[in-house]
Amino acid sequence: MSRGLLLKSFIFRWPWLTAIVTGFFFGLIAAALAGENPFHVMRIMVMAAVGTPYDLGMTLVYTTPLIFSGLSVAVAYRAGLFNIGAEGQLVLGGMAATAVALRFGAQFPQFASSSSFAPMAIGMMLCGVAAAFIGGLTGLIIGYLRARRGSHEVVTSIMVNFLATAITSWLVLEKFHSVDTQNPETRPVAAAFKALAFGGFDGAPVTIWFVAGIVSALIVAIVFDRTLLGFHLRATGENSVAATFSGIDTGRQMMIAMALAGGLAGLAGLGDILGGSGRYRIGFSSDYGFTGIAVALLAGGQPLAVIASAFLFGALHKGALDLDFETDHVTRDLAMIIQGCVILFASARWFHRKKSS
Amino acid sequence: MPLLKNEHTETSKVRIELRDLTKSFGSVTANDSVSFHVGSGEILGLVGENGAGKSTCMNMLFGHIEPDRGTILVNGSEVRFRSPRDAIEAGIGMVHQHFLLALSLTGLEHLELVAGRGAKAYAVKAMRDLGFEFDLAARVEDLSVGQQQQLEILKVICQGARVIILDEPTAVLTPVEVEPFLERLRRLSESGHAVILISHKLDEVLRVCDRIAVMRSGRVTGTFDAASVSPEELAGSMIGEGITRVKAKTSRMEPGTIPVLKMTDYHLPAGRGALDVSLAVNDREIVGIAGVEGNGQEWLFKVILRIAPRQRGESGSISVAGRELTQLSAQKIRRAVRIALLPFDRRSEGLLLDGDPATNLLLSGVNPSSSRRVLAWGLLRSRALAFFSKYDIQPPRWTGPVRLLSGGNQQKFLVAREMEQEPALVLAAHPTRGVDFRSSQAIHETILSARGRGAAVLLVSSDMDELCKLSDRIMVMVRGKIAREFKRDRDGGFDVAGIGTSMVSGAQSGSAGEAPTGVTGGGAS
Repeated sequence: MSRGLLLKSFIFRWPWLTAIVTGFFFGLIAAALAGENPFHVMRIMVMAAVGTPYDLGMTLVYTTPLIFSGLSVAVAYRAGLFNIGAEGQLVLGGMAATAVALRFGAQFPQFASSSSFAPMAIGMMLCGVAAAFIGGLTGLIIGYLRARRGSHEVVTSIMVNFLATAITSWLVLEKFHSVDTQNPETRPVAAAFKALAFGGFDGAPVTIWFVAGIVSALIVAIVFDRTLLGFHLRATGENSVAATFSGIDTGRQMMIAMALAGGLAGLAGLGDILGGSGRYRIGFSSDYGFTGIAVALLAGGQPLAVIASAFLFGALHKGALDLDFETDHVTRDLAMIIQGCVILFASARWFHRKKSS
Repeated sequence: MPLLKNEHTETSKVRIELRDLTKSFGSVTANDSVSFHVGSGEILGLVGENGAGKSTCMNMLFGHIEPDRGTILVNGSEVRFRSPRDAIEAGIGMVHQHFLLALSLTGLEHLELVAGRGAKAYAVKAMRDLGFEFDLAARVEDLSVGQQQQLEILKVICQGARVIILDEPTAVLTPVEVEPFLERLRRLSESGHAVILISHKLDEVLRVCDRIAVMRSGRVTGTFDAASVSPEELAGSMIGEGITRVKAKTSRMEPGTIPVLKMTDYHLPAGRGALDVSLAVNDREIVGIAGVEGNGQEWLFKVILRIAPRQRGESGSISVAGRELTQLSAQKIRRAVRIALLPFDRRSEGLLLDGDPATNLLLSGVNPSSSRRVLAWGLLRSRALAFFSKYDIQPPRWTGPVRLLSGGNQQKFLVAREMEQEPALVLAAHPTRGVDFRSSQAIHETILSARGRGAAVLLVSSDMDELCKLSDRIMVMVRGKIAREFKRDRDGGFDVAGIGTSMVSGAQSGSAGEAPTGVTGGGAS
């Protein structure tokens, strides 16, 4: 009885921790069933994720897009919307930034080839604005269709995801294709547009965009907790009928939320594109947009928790890569199993709320 | 899982007894040694103010929560309910204030869900015995509220309930539905059921119950024989003070002459709603809207607030404080005029149930911060605290989600929030529904004092006492039209019989009056 109560209050107070623990537990059981020692598997994953500065750096590289896409889903979620379109928004945003960088670089080659402070700051700003604008516009269209035309955002988002992939593929192959490579990628952007990378990670391209992600999370948290706009978004999400009766234009809030969500998702790809090769490569995103849903879900829609949640999924992604050659029976797909279990337990309702009269 | 034990339970007697039930939540003792009993053929009234502990007590009896101490006896033997399922097994059934029905299912489908295929024959017989009147084959969405309630009762009977708990059953009924309902209750007890009736309305309890248990701050302060107790005694036991009745203000200022709300030949075509209204509410005036529910009262609020979806064929004008509203957006109206709203459904239309009181204050549309776009939580919290103490909202200093406040306290909070913003226009719907006697008095005082400060009040209510006490004029609304208007007599009262008659008879003339094709007809007579 008392032990049951203790467990209950633990689950109640830390549902996310419960989700992580049970998720890993069942994931490792799967590993054990496949014939691996689960403790061995766990050690490999931890070492691969944070064992060396380089590994930690790569984990942060994977964390960066997940912070943005997680925030994107969280913002929409708090306003009562499900942004399944982060994937489309992030490829369009990434493409927009690349296009601007390439066009601008061609126009002002002198300026763009410099890697001193001013050009890089301007470069980062231009890319950021372009990505956020196009991503936000994509989100806004989805929000408009939902708020004013009544089309469900999940349906339109999925359609936009396909459109986004098609449009970017066409742009990469027909408009910005590199002549010196056979890969489906664009020409490299000029030096000024490369993202500033931090040393100390043995060459892992941890960029300024990681910091930008954390700053974005802080800003989103402040908007939600401290501003009237944040309240209007939350009220729309929590009880749109009451919000309407109190004079809030809930449709407008939906459009704002989706535009914000799209803008945040638009920035998600920049760390990868501008930090690594400096080229937009088709398929660069390993489902960052969709993993963002998992990130936001585990974080319960809380912007600051998104940072930690994104790190966990980043580490899981990086940690699982070594499983391919360090073990005999499991592959990196174990990360997907664990991720799935964590999400399952994060979205489980552990206790049904009793009716209070 | 068919639970139809009709054959043998039909005649068997049941007796349930609560002995010294005690339950604490943290430092608050919600129930302190509560004892009473009820048996077959008996109706026990359970009365008490909001927060007196009635719900906690019933939740223990129905197995939602377990008592800290004390016992429950069914037919003399001790039972322990770990969940509502145990209570249902023991023959206890509960009809909640908020119905638990699926709108798209029929009545019969609901019964078959709880009692299996054999439900129909049993239900038909029970309906005949108890005088229930509705179509079992109709979908719930097509049933009136009163009929849905009958279905709820039938549901628990088909589950085999012998003890039936009814939580505020008359709160949702219109005045004309109450008397037949009480009659059905009597038949229910005559058929051998034990009934526990939770209510705020002392006159109904006195009329229908055999015995009445009164609760105050977690204790049973008295159990009375309904035949021999006076309303004053009951009220005294409930409130715990010598007073039983607060005198209505006799001297009141004359209403003002400046129209604050004015609807001229306003027409909303049938479809989602149908309205044909001309009315004016002046400053320092309360206009009451009487009428059977669903005759356009909710649409009246929606079109004034401009939150009804835009419709073709809308015509006429609505103005507030001289500003024409029909071309404005809902947001512009709220910025232009301060409107206090006590909505029809406080839970879904007035509150963010998972938010704390401070967050909910923001829903009034007033942001007390010095900057329009930034929130000042400290200011909001202290304001919420001040409202809690000024309006005696329980528990005091509450900072958790408002979902956990009792219904009456939620309403008091809503009244505080809306009325403290010095509104020019007040739209109030059933301001004291489900609220205890003393809180009702306080809410009435608040509305009257807003009037005293110059507010125009449009008051929709199904409580005739409330309408007569507060209103300067009463309009009867039937099928979206103002059927008749009543003014106060010489001696300051209203022609209650006349209002009642036009609520019902107006319906007939209303249906006849639909034939004319005049678009902007109707209006005050």
